[in-house]
Amino acid sequence: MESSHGVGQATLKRLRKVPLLVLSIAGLLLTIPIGLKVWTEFDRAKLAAPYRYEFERPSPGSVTQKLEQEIAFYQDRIRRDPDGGMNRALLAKVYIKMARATGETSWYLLGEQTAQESLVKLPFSNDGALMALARVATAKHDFQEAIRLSQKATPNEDTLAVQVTTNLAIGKVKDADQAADRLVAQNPDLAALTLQALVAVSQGQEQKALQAFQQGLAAEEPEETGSSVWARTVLGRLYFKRGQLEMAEKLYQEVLRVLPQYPPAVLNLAELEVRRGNYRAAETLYNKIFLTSQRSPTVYDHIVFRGMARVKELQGDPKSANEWRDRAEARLRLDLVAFGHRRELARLLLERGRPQDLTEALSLMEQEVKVRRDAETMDTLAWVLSRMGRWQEAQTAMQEALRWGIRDAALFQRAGTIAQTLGNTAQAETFFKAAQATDPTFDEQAQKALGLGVGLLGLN
Amino acid sequence: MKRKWGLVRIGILSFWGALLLSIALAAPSQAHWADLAVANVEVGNTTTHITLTFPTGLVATADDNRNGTLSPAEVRAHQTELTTFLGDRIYLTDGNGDRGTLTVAPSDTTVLPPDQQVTAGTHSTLKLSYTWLKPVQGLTLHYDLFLPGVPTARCLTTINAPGQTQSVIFSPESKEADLMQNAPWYFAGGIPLAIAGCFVWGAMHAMSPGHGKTIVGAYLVGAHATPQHAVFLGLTTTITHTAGVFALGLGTLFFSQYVLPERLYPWLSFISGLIVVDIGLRQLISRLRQNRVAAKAARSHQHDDHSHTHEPSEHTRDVAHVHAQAAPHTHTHAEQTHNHHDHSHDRHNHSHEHPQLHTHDHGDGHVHSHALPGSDGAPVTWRSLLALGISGGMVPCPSALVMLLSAIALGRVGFGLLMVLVFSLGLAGTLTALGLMLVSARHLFERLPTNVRLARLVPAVSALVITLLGVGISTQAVMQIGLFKPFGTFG
Repeated sequence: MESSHGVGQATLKRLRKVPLLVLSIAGLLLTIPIGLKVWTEFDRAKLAAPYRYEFERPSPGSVTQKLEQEIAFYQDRIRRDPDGGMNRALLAKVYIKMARATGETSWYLLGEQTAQESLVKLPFSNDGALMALARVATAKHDFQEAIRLSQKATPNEDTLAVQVTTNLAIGKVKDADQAADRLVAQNPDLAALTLQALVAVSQGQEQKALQAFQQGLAAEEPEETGSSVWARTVLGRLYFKRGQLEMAEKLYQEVLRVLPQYPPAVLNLAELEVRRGNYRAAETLYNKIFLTSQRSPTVYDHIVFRGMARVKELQGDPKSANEWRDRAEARLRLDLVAFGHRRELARLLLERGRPQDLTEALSLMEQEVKVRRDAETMDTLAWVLSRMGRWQEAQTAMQEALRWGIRDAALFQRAGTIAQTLGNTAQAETFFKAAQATDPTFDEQAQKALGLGVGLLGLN
Repeated sequence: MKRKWGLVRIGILSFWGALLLSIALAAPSQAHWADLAVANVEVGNTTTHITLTFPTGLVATADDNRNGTLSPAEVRAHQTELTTFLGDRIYLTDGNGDRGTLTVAPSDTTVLPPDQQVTAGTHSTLKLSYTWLKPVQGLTLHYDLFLPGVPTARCLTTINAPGQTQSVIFSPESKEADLMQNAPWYFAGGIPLAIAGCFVWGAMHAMSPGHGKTIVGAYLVGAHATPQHAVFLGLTTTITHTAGVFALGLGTLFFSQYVLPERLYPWLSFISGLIVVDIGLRQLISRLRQNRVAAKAARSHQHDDHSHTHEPSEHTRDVAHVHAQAAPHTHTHAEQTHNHHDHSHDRHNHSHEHPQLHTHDHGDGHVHSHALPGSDGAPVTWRSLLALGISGGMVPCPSALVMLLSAIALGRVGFGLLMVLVFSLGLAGTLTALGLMLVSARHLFERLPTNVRLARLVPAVSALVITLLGVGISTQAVMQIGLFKPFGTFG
């Protein structure tokens, strides 16, 4: 009896301490968010005002939710008008927006199916459906098809935007430039100005590019979240390519504040961490992509696999690195026809460094340059050729890569190496200096992160 | 009905959220464009149409000209086999389980010029129509058209019923869904299955790395814990975890404009780590002291005015110790050292037993527990158990948070809270079971000769392990927060 009384009292005493503990935990849980808010704002203050996203950021999942609402809206209209083609074209456009927002390739297929149905119902003057097909073709890296489809449509902002992207990819920078200027003249919004900035970057006109980015961000609207995050991501990568890692990081973080799972920003941040030597952090970021891409395959999967392979290799785990490379290779081979990933597969084979892969890498690049001749593609061709000891051809390929004036430390470095091997010491020195001038921090560690990012130098 | 649908949606979303967030290191999917299929379902009263675009390789025998796309002529020529093949793999049943009659027709899109068929060469599009003689209720769609040997093949499907549009992804693991008017999707079994699933998920989730299992294990083995302690620890973890998810979920909603929930996790980990370090250090200090005392006592020493018998073999729950005199002496109880200078044992010899758990009052309001004084004299204290349980449950599982937020997003807050609770119970079930196993296993160690020096060191080593784990958790959290960056970085 006495014993049970003692137990009761003891329990009461212990319970008296519980509220204090609960209150402390509750206090912490409330204090931390407030502290983090202050911290975040303090952190954001380091980002130049024009680059900050000043609108209310969308609540989690609201971007795709909004697209789902749009899908429901057009589906409902199609039910009311089953023989109409216009609503199907608009629906196809929303599907493609969904594909771009999530990176999930299935939405492209659905967009294509719907656009084709639309064209059956409305075979003429159906620009919306044609442009939806052109977008699918662009996503699949079928640039000639995309240009052809866009030329069949009445010229408008959509056709011009596709023309900028595709002309950049096939190396017709002047055509891309003209299309971008016309696009900006028609509608100087963030998306148009970002495209103009990309064209300027590909010509080495950095001031013009920065001006276009800033002008675009100044004209930013709250309803164009996709453009807002894309513009900051490529701007971040531009700073990254100039060795301004802090600025790049801030921009990526700003993007992730707006859209926490945005794959290009996560991938670019991982690239940045690899460059800094923070391999664990990079691995965490790649895992973050896996978390969001388990539902369905995405266009970013092969980049993640390659990134993981690189990280594992740098961490001194060649076995895991090989396993990840095998996955990347399997994925790239399967998508070789559908998504035109020849260049990425060639780069992977080169990264593996096996002599027996060189012939295939060259064959892939010879196929690729028939449809795509942007700076990164020509650089990859030069890489293969130089690995095979065909230095003269490699130099020709590098010259084409650099012909529009693009400034990229990695490209300059390769051009310098090729020139040096060919005995053009003075020219090599010029290239090496150009590499340092472009990115003063471009060193051995920086080279370990090459080719892991998304955007800026053409489509991935 | 709507409510049921809402609940089921939460279940589906939670399932996906769980899948996404609980298998961080799982192998990513290997599906690719050529494995993908898409479908658009138009639900009608007596007829439901499906426009299906799928890899032509699935019906390669019907692709006579081997161009990778079924032409209208090829569809007509292989009408019967296509209908049988597709009817076996994609079918709709009504509420009575009756299948609709399937007819297969080429898609209208085949009339398009080839230059407007971007996927020509890999995919074909067909129109599937399922017909019933009378209006149907409660349709179920069964989809099993996947390339063999490709476990991650998918079919993205949009479903259009009057006033309702949904999209769903079929996979080899998820081939079936019920499609009903005004209540499109829910898995068979409904709410009870969702709750049971949550429990199992929580239980399985506890087996994944984390949740303080190592720390709890080290504590329970090192200290002289009982099954009750293990249960208490499990319950504390559950309650803290549930409360943590609720608080974080609500905090996330409240502060969603300002703070990303993922930025909170490192801070919570940091606090959790500090608590663990605190527990570990206290135990370590206490046990080192007791080891010292025990070593001296083992020599059966005699003080001036009182003697203690501290034969190591008596350091069991049945130990009897003698306070020959009322001299001030020290008891050390793992978490706190208290002096008995404020109460006396007046010149009496008392021999008391220590059953599994009891407390006693010395009449001065100072209640202390002699819960299982161990051979090292370091009993498990409820306070340390509480702190340990809190530290284990303090950092809520992201999966549980996603579940709650999904529920809130769908307006089903109550069901979300219930699911989080069930999830936490599953989590606690596993943790408690593990704890009980460890406690049982510990008795095996007790049967070993206790005068072995190594055996005396076990509690101290376990305390050291706890401390190091706490330091590890805190350091990792600090690095995640970004307060500290490893050497060798630049930029």
